[in-house]
Amino acid sequence: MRAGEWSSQLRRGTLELCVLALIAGKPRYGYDLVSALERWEPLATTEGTVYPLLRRLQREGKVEASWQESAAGPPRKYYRLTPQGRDLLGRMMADWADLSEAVRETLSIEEEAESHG
Amino acid sequence: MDDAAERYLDELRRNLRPLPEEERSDAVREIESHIAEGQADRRPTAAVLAGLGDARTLARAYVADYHIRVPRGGALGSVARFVLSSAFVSGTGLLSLFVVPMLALLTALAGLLAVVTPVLGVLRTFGVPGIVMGDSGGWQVPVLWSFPASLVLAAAFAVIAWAGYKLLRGYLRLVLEGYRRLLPFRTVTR
Repeated sequence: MRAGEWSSQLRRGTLELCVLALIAGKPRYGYDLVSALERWEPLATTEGTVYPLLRRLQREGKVEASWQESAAGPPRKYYRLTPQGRDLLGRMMADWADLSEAVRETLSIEEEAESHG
Repeated sequence: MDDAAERYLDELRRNLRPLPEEERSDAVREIESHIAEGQADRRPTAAVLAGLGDARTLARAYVADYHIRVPRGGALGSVARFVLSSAFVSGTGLLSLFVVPMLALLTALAGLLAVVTPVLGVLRTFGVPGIVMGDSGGWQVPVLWSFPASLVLAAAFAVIAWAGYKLLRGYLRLVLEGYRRLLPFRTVTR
């Protein structure tokens, strides 16, 4: 697998976690969410992935959505977490912590081996 | 909304046809709102549309996700499936009633003995009376050997406890896997 392909698969998996985490902070609408993700270069994603993802999360009952008129501009579809979504986020955060810790340790063993060799 | 945006939304709407009408119009409305937000942000329409990607690809992502989560056709609908599920649920339920407490008891007991035995071995070494280590023929482990012998015994109990735990876990996993397969949703790995 090429590094580019690997990296895009890695991002796809973490995007769901980041989207849930951002919505957990405050209710957000799609454009707001995409702009928030754009602040971190590695998370910058095509809007084309975020909207279908939101749709799936809504269908699965992890988020709920409501349309609200905005003062200036178009109506916005705001998302918030359901209790089920909050559970999922908690579990995903724990998994993420475990995984990143394990990866970090594996990489440090690799580094040690290199410095000895 | 300019021409390019209208064309994009039309194309999206056309390709979202497999979705239920309510979801379809909601999705189109949301993308429309996204484009309008971008324009309000003074971003050129072409850039906003490029960010969304090809309308057909976007529609495909919506539709693919939809198919992954739809209930399996006729789940529990046919008589055969209903009978099979009932047999599985009652069968494993009855079996679990014996298997789970037995394995749990075995694991707990063996685990406890694995901890207690070395303690008894130490006590016997120092001459505490009433601790018997030996066979039924009257042969006794020499007092000095009490502790090493108790360690061997404890190791055996630990192995039994470990095996009981593994068996219990394996059994639970098997049953849960069976239940999962009965759920009226098909899971598709992406």
